Amino acid sequence: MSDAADVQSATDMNYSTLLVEINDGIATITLTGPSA
Amino acid sequence: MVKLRADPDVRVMVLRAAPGRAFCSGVDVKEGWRVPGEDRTPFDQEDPGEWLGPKSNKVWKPFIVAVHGMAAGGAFYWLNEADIVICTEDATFFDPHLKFGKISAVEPIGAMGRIPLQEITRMVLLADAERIGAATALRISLVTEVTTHKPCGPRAQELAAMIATTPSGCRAGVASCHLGGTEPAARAGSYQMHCVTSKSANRWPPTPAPAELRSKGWTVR
Repeated sequence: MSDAADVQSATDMNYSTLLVEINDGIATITLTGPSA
Repeated sequence: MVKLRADPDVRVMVLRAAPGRAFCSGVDVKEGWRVPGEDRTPFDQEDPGEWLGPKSNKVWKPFIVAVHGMAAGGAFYWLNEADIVICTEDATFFDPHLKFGKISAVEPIGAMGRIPLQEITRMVLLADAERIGAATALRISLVTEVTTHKPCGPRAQELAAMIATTPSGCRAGVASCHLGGTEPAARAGSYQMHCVTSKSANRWPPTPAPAELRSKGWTVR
């Protein structure tokens, strides 16, 4: 299962996307870098 | 983080960054992190990184952070709340706040009890004039392992797979370790006694890991 969550609001730190994959009990969160 | 707390399929969390020069370079000092035009007093502002870390959000699932490249400033929101930090040989850690005339507070305060005080003050005062390399990070316990593999995500996955074999009760262990280091001893102890003895906890005893995740052996480091 995988999911992509947008940042929560403009006042939060500016990560454009946090990718979350869940496999075998492990949630892997990948920082994709600050939004341009 | 809050979503992951409630997801029964999630037993361990791994944080990594996409390939590139940095794991996290913190806030862009030119852009800032406030909404344009916002002019709240310091007393009305909230910490912009409050939602980032698991412990700040009462998520007691094991949290592994895999660092490559630069880890600066805001990266400590995660580093300070990690149960295990590993890094690649090219990793560097620093806190550039003072270079820009900014107050360094969350980073050093969160690092207390994790790395020696003098290492914290040196990192804060030298801002980005000096960066903590992987070998030094290992020596001062900022990380527990330096991997020769790049990226180090696969090694983090190996560690996570080992932890995923433990019953769900390991969440109490994570809470114990964190609260024991951040709360007064009596308060942390009473919280844990509450978990151990309460009827609520007894209604939800530790759930064994699924058979396919159970431990297949052990390693030495």
